Amino acid sequence: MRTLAAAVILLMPGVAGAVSAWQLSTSANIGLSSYQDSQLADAQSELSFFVDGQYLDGLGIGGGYIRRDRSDTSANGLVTNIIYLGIWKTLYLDMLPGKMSLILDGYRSDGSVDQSGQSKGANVSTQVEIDDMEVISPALVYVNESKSYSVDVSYAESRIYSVTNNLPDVTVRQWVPAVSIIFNDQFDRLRLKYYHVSLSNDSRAAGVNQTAATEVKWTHWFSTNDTGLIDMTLSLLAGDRQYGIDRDTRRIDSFAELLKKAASFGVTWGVNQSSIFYMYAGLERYDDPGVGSHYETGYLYMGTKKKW
Amino acid sequence: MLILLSGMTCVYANDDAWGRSANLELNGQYEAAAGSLESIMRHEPDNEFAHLRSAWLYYLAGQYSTSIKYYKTAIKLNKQSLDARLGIMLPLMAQERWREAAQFAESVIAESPLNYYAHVRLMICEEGLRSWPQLKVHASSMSRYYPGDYSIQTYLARSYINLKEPELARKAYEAVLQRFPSHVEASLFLSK
Repeated sequence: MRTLAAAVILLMPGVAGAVSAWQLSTSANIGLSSYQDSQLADAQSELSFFVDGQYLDGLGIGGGYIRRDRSDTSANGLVTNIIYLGIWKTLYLDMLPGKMSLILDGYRSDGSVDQSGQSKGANVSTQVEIDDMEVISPALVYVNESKSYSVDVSYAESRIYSVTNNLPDVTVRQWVPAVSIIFNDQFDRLRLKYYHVSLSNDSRAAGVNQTAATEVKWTHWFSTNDTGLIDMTLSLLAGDRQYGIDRDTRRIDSFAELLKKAASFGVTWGVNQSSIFYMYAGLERYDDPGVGSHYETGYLYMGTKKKW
Repeated sequence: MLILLSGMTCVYANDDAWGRSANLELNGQYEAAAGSLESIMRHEPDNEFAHLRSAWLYYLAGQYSTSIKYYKTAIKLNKQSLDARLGIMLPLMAQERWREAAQFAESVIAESPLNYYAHVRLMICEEGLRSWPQLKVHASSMSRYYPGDYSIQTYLARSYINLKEPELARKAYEAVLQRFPSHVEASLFLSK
């Protein structure tokens, strides 16, 4: 009788087997940028796909692929392929109540320029390899027990290898300390990040080998509502940031341009119980120390994430 | 004779430790209450109850990771223990380790299908994981087995709110108030 009751309960949807040890999530994203006053590029499109797996509450792994297509002013296309791999482990320590997470992210980026032209009356397309970039980025994140604040620090070491030109290889070191204050019954978060980036040589950046920038990000979460809105985020950045690695957004900048100012606004909607849709729009201002010009980009980035 | 006497001293010392631990717990000195059981575990490393009780006391002291460590040893010493599997859920939930806690709840339910604590704690995990459809089905099913319980009705109401079914949430909160007339959450919702 007891066995029968157990079987009945186990068959009840939502009772047993509802919480699996592994939680898998996938996301697919598209980004479109347009350039203004740039001597190098007109537009850029980006496609990315990520898979993340979480085992119980303490371990996670992730992987992803990003492809960027930048069309430049001389009709040559610049394609960048980026592979992402990450792992994290959460520690729960009595001496420091809350959560401590150790994160290790890695990226590999390789780019090529499509140099189309005429040769003996025929169209010829030649792919020319440009710099490769490898990034290894450990991070330490602490969230206190009541979730009223978090502090984190991340380091990223990027190695940029010359493939076809004669420029020396560069090592880029980035430190990002950050603090988040969570308030208003956990409906709001203010996040402050400081980027410090140093380059082992300035061969690609025309005399710039150290940059610093500050970013402030405000996120507001909505309570359950009919619009389906989950959160909105406003982000502002000022200073100089070069070869930036943003752990929050899994964005890596593989070019030497200096990001001077950035502003973005984004919203997330709940599509259903297991899926969300997000959209960000932003403006960025860059200096290109190589050609001594300034330019602006406007972008729209959207994606969807599903938990399986 | 000497061996017998030393054995008796050990038994008396242990009795003392249990009593001291109980008194310290009554005074709210949970960490000291757990500490007084260490002498027992030194002499009897396989003393299941000492591990179980230490785990509980460290949970009360807010030392959740230490509590989990003792509960895990208690489970290792007796794999059939429902006590330990129900107990370990408490510090895991305090650390918001919902998936790990849910695994233990499900292991209890597999052996004791209608265990009230396992089901209610699993509902807490489902809420923590924001698994609203599962919580709704689960709370609705269990309310038939425990019709007089207001906690299950409260979880049912919360699932309805998050699934945007306000009329059903209202009914569930009305049921909560019938069972617990001074329930703050239900009163606040119904006064809107």
